[in-house]
Amino acid sequence: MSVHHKKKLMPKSALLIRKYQKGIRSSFIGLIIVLSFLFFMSGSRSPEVPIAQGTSVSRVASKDYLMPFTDKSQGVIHPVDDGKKEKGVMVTLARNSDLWNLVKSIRHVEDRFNNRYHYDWVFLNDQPFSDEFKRVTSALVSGKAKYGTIPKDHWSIPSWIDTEKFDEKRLAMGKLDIPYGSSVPYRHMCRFQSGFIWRHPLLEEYEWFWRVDTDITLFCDIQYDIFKFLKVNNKKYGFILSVSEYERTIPTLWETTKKFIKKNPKFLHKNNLMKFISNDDGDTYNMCHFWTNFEIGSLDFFRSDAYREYFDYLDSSGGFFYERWGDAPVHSIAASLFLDKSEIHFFDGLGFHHPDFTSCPIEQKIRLQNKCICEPSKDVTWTPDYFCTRKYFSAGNYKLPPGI
Amino acid sequence: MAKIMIPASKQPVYKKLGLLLVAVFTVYVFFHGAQYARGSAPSPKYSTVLSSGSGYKYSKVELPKYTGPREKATFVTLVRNRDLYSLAESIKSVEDRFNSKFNYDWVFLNDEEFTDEFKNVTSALVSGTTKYGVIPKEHWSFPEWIDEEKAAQVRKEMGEKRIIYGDSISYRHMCRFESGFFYRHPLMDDYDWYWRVEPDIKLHCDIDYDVFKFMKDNKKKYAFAISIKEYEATIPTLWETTRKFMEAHPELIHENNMLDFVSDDQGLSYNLCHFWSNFEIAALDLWRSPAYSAYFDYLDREGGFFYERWGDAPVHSIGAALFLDRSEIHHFGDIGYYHVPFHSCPIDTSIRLANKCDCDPSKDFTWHSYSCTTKFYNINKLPKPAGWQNHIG
Repeated sequence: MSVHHKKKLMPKSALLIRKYQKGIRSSFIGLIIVLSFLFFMSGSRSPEVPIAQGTSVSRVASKDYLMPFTDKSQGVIHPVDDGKKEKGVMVTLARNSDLWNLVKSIRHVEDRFNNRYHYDWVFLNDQPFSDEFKRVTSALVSGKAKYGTIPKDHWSIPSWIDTEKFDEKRLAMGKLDIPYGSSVPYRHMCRFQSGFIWRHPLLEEYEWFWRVDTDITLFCDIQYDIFKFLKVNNKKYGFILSVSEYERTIPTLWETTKKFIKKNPKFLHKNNLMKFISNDDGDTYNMCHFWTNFEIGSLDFFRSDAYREYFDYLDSSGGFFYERWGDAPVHSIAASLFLDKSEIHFFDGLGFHHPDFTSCPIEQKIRLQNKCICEPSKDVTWTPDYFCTRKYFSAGNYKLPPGI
Repeated sequence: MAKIMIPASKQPVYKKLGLLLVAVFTVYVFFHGAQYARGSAPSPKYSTVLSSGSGYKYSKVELPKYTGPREKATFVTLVRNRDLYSLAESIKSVEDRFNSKFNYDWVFLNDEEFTDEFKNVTSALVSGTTKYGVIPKEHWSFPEWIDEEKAAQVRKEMGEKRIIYGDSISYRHMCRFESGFFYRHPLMDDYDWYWRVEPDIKLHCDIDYDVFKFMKDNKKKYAFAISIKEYEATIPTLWETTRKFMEAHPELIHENNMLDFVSDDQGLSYNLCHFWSNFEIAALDLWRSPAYSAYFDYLDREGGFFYERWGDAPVHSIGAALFLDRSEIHHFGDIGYYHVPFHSCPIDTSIRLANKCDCDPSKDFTWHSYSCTTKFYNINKLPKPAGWQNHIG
């Protein structure tokens, strides 16, 4: 009789048995969900019980992003961050002795804007920067800090200037108590800021600049990339405050400008902002200018043929030395004449102070959204006569904010 | 052996789902755990919202909320409505240098109701929850045992002698309140720790660690940034009163106290050293303790807050020195701090650079001969930073 061989069954892992697989998978997923939940709960804080006495104000997140009225009336948009940096840079002309006033300015720009974007910073000086200056400023700047020396020919009296006449003129201005009227270094600074700063090799790789001076205060968080803002809105020059110039510092500046335009009419933009700087269609200058201790603009504008030729013409006439032409009226006249009016922008929502003037957003909602710490009663932006913001809005046909 | 079969068409799907699930879980645990362990907020990011009307998407600056562990701590400020904008600068400085990373609450106290403008501006600035409280009448008025005619006479005399705030009633209320009542306010009941902030202060350096956790972990109860000597004319009988209290309650004096910070002759006289209390980071339990409560009640009963012009700074300093173990008192040397007219600024260059300080070390008051911080370091045998001798002034 033959013996049938009985098949021996080997025990198998439950993981390999089809009918258990679904259950095992479900359990695993459930376990992960439970663990995730525990992690989540351990990280959060239990909500506080309201207090019987006193008032609690919990932060209520605003769902709407608010744009200042003036940005709407100027027809701009605020750019969304796309992770790409523009070729922008902060630029500061400073002496080593300015260090401790300058660090406050750097702090404001970093806290209100640059700690999110890490743009570079170029420092320029007519002397080499000290080690302390470089150590302190590079620690504070979140981007790359670069240090350059101003070439001799950009910070000296050019050959065509009659030095005797110059001394005679500046001492006379000193006697008349014209601010910095007798100062030589101040004139070098004005000439440098007018015609040479963007020619410095350290600025060659950049397209946009933000000029930062010592002793400035920024009061509000800047909600967007300010360089990207200029780019997407096709702006070339931005300002916050505008004021009237001291006439006695620039007796022949406008006359010289008119001669330049007469010789080079092609540079006068057909949609210019002449109405900002002249009340009689160009016959006389009304002294309005952008206050250039805050400037954000296009370096290409200053590199343009129009601007370079204008500066060279002004420079050769000697007004930076025989008078005391400031870079602010020079920049402002050039921007008004050579740019399309839509290429110039009044910045609102930022809050700015430089001795002696303060700008603070006029709209309470904007001040709260941007976490401004400025006192609105100190704002001079819309003060008529000496300040020129209203004239800018009128010249550009922009609507003024309600209540102005 | 039978082969386990998963349908061929589904096998890749299951594998991908499984891997995805594991990856997501791993990433979540890693980043959440890292955040938990590091105890600091990630770098800022933006929320994108649709602005009504224009159709464009805009981004708004929104620092992320801190989700790590936190102490039961709050900033506390006694302030008038009209001080809003000088306080706003203080809040901004504290937020930029410290609190935007940790989101601690802020309690505001006033003897009057806060205005809507005050609440709107401060709540916009503070990254934590803001709370607004009114000081109870009995904490901001003359107690019944004070002879108000005598008090008025003293104010007149101190005014004539040009003693600073000598003729002020409200200043006296403030000193008494800060000495004995701010920690009793119901809004403070939720908290174990506080940081006192005043209008017109500035922080010069980034603070990248949780100072309240530091206090707790290191068993500190009171911390200061600047110390100085008091005007003797404001406190003629404060020390004598304190000595009487010590004689009456020797059991309340800590056996390892820091009497030698406030007295150079074993308690016979007061050397006028005190912690400059416009900056204080401390445990509320110090003031809530039986020892300090008894001390304050004793001082209050004597009337020196009104018949003289006792400040909360010497009262706090003497209280801390007598009732705490000396190791429970801490000097923050790395926090650059400014309140007119004094600066504290780390004199160690590497600390200043690492913490991105914006202060000028030549203005540091810490080691100055008028400052008492050198004494604090000497009596506790703590090492001073290199070069401190160059800052004696």
